[in-house]
Amino acid sequence: MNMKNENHNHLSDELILRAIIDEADLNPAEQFHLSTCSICRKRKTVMEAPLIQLGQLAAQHAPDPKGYPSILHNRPSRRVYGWNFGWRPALASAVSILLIVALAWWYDAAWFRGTERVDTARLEKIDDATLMAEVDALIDEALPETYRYITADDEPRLTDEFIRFVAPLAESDSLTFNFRNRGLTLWQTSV
Amino acid sequence: MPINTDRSGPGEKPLDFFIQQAAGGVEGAFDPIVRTFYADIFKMIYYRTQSRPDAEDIAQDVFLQAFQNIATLKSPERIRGWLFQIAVNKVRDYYRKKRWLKLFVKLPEQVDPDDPGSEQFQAADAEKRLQQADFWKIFGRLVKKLSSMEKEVFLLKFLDHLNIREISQVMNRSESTVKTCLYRGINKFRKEPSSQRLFDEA
Repeated sequence: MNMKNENHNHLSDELILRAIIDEADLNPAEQFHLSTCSICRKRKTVMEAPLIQLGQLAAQHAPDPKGYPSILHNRPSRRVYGWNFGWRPALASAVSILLIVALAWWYDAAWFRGTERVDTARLEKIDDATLMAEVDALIDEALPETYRYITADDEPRLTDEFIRFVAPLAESDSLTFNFRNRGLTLWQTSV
Repeated sequence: MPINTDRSGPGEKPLDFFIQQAAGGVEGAFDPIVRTFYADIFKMIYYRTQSRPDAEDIAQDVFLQAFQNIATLKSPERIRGWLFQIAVNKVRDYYRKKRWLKLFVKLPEQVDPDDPGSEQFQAADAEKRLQQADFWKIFGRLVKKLSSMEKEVFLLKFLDHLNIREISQVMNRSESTVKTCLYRGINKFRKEPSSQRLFDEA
């Protein structure tokens, strides 16, 4: 492959990456180009270098093992995740719980009261007489005090006689009575 | 790095021989296997935990499990991938336990019991330790950008030097899936500015 041809068919970055992962993934033409084109080979080397360097750096910064483990003679392993109790988190949790309880107690929170049980047995034992007295009182004074003032129920001068004087019954009102009778007569006459 | 089961144990016998012997329950046959792969497995775990004592503990667990189950190994040439598979699972278990226990228990500080505790030693070693800490800090930030699958595949390929077939065996995924994850991982790695910083500081 001559130089001119090389320049026109260089592998893309994507193909170079694929070659880094596995050269067998390239098609035969691309593989042939990579093996013959110095520019593409160099590009592959440049792109691959940091990845190789990363592996080398990691190996440099990792310690070498000290000896080999004795598989058959189990040494007690130093468990970092053992059950050693953490006092700080435990104390913090306890203080938090105490604070919440104290706040709920202090403000007498609704949810706190809501959790009280209803004593149904006590409710059933309410004296019937007391209950009936309450019912009677409600019948006598059905209206609230404000409305009782408007209706003047408590005014002793407003007797039944006075009310009948102000608003007489239909039977005892002569005008109304006569008019009704007259109406009836007229109707009966026309029929 | 291709699977090399020709790595000879003591007495220039091929490793396959010891694997078969260990599978048959021959005493001492497992030792050459440990000697051949221990360093790789230890480093692989260290890359993921960045703690020497944890790496030692987990590596021991890996080889203990391998020792107990070597008879189930289908073919001797798969031993490297098989050991890495056990190690990946052990590291996962370790993080799972650690995450769970963190909720309830205060975990102790990472202490290397084998390191001399003297101030003189620490002063002489301080620069190296600082460099190491910096490296793993940037490295941790870098791999955080990858998804868990991309990260694992990336580490197995470029830090543990496993080939695609071995990675697919370790991850229990098809080779094409591994390649796709690797492709994505490399792309993210190249675009990440902290990757350049990693090499600059190194």
